[in-house]
Amino acid sequence: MPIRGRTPRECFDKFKEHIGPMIAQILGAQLHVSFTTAAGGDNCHCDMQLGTPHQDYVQLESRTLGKVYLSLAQDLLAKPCEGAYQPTTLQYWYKVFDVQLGQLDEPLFRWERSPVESGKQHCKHHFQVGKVHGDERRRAIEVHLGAGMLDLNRVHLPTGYVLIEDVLRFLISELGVKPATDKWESVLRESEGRFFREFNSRTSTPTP
Amino acid sequence: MAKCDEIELSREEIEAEAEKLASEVLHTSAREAWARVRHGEFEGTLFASKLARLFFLLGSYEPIPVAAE
Repeated sequence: MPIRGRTPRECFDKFKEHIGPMIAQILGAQLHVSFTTAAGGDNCHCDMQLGTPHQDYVQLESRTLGKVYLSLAQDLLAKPCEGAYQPTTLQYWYKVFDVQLGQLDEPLFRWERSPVESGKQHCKHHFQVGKVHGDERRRAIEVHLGAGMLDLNRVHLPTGYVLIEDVLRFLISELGVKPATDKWESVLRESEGRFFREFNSRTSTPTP
Repeated sequence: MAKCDEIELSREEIEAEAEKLASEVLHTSAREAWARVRHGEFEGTLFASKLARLFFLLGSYEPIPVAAE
């Protein structure tokens, strides 16, 4: 049964109760998760980010790579549904940076869900590869494809809906980020299960 | 539980934050910056997503403004 709330606020509180403990268990209880709403608006819009209101990324320690930087944000909409409200994620941005970032730096990896505007044909849910360090400045990775070259920085590789849990699993298992608990696999599995049960069962198949 | 910060921003505060961000990063107005972001400039950057998020919150008051062509 998808989560519903009598008010938009109740929806967002339930989402917060889902995300807050999971982030604390996986990355550490010292981290902040910020939820911003518009005072006096329709109360149906909520912006969530990992980090404090003034620092929208966090630094993580990797066993193998030193420091990596992570930015996670979601825009949530509480939609009226049968006399109540149901939370839905309208947009998300999950970004992994290899250096401490400035506002105009591109991440090395990013997963996004963005509304596709007319004239842009890429998939709503996609993954993109950033630019790598070159001799003096960053350069895109180009690969041969058929008779031409493909700039991997420009292609939007289709994905399904990507969960925050998926990104955290990638960080731990592939990039060597140190989890705050040895039980990280079961915490992520449990959290994913809860997401599919309570928030959205239509996105993709949960981990068995 | 991670430390959860709850922030409520007025329309004026959201607009001021967007103006500050656009001014600091591009030396331009928020509307101009948003039009450029919507045309694909700065794709993938923290700046582009931060601006999109602020305009999303402004949608709490009105439909998200369409960038001028």
